[in-house]
Amino acid sequence: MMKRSHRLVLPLALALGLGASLPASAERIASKPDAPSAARASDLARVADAAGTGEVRLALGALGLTPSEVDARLAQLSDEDLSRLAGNLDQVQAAGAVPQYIWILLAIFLAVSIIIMIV
Amino acid sequence: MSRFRPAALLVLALPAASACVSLAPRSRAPSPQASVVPGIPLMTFAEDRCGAGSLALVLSARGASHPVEELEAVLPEVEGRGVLSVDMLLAARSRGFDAALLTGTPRSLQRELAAARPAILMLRLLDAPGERRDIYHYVVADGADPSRGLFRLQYGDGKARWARLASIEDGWKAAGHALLVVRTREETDAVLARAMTLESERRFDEAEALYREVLEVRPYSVRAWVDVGNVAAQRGRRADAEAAYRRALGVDADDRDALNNLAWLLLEGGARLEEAESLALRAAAPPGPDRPRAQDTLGRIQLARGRCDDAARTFREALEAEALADGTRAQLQEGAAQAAACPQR
Repeated sequence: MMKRSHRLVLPLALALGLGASLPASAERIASKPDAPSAARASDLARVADAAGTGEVRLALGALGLTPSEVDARLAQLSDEDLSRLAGNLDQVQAAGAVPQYIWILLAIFLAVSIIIMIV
Repeated sequence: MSRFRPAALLVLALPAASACVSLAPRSRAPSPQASVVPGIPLMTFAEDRCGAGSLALVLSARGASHPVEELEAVLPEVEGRGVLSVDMLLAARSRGFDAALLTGTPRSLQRELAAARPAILMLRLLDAPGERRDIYHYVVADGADPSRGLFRLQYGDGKARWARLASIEDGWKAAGHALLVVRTREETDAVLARAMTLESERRFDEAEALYREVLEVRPYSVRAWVDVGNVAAQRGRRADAEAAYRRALGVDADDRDALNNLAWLLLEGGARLEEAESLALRAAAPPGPDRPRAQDTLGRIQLARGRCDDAARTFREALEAEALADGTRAQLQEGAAQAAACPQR
């Protein structure tokens, strides 16, 4: 019974003590606008720590990037970037090149078309 | 320009490739209410330049002239594949823009276009058998017609196509609905300022939504993380507030506002006072206009820990500051009085 009373009294006393030390007018430092150059430098040391790094690293590597090329990119991405990309790896992709095989297929198609036209 | 376009190539190659092809959609007639980003030109760029071309187009609409050739030089091509989406994001940021690679939705695309901000979508044009053979393409969305559910798309062939997102859904979905949004720093600052106004009006939900919108494109903003923490703290969402302050400290371990406000949060919680004091000590160390506020936090924590002499010294030092706002001075004097009255435990 005694122990139970202590359990109740102790948090109450702590709460009362804290209440006395926190003035009603006290506030945290208020919200502010951004500094003129809110940017983050590359931080290679941080790369290994961010969540999602492993998945993005694998995805970039699968596209043919070397480990140093992968690290250079990971170092410039924020934790939020990495987390977002890790949750949607389909976005880790390259666009804009027409692979060699398309030209070969096209050449075959044209050749077959010409042969059919002649015959 | 006599080169074949990818779409034509894909159509021709289709029978041999036995692949799945997404062609550029046929343009529909927009309504009179349709709007296009002001001043954006119809642009033509070679098919292997859709990365640099689309980014140049978007940046030009944001008021910055970066020729395709310039961007091409800084957008390395992954052999046989093209330009990485990640490199597009980093290239925009390195040119002083706020940018994000998001998972796009009709609503988020509409949001960008309503604010006259063109955006880049990545689409898969060809789903070829086997790995490493798919073909992707960047297109620019630069107009919207909400009444008909149309968006204007530029594929880089100098034509504008008004199309429903459903007509490109297969290709967009395959690219994870990748949506690259680009904003000027002034635009982001304006959103941040608006969020602060809403917070001061105690419209916390709206304020937080805008702070998080800022963080989408400016994830390194310590200020925005602290501001999100402040809103969460005012809503009583202590865990969210703590996470936001800690995220701010992840960007800048010495940021006074983040250190102080996290210390204050822990003090309010009444637990982890040792950590709170450690944070407050760091917040109170460097000189600056907010130092007395951090010293006030430190003094309160020392009081809560029963260290009355330390608290008295902290409040005394804070009151020695030359320029103190009336509210801060009164707060510190009240703390000093508490410290003088409290018995050393």
